[in-house]
Amino acid sequence: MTAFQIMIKLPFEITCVVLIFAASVLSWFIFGSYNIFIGIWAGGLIGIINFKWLGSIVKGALSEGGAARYTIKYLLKLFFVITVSAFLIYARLADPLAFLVGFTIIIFTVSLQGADFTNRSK
Amino acid sequence: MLLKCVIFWVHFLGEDRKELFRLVSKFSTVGLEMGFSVVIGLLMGIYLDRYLKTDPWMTIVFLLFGVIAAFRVIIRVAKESQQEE
Repeated sequence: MTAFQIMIKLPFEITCVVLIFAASVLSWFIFGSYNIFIGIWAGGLIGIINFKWLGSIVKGALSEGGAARYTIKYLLKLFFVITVSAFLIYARLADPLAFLVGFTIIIFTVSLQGADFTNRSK
Repeated sequence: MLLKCVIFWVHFLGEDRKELFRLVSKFSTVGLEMGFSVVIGLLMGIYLDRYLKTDPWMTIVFLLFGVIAAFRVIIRVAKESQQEE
């Protein structure tokens, strides 16, 4: 089994963290900048939190109904994510481009695991 | 031309991958739909603000409407997926 296959089989969050770690270490060796390192970690972690939070909101809305309550929860989540991201970028703690790269890792992981899941369910 | 490309890729990927291809197209459409909802809300807000001189309230309100519409798209797709299962 290759490292790639192992990563696909791992739980979603762990695969994400492994990819964030790999990207941040790689960026450290290439650029040697704290801002880029923190940007990748911050973007990646906020991406995971946002995804899990959205998942729980959608699950709740589907199982319990009452879409208005969950719409407010969704808006609160969005406000939280925007506030934290804006703070990190405006305070110059995180590099904006690195933040975007970190945030994109989750899309890559979801596509990878989704493709594998579809193949296995055949 | 686009249709020809799609047909080519479906043949190229083979029968096993058709389901994957269908899912990818379905969920990328969701992303587009969400993006468009927010952008349309924002543009309407900006236009109304200019027209009514209520800067920035209409932009904020219509942006919120756009975000809510985007959330509705997620719920709708999740419901459809649940029904398919």
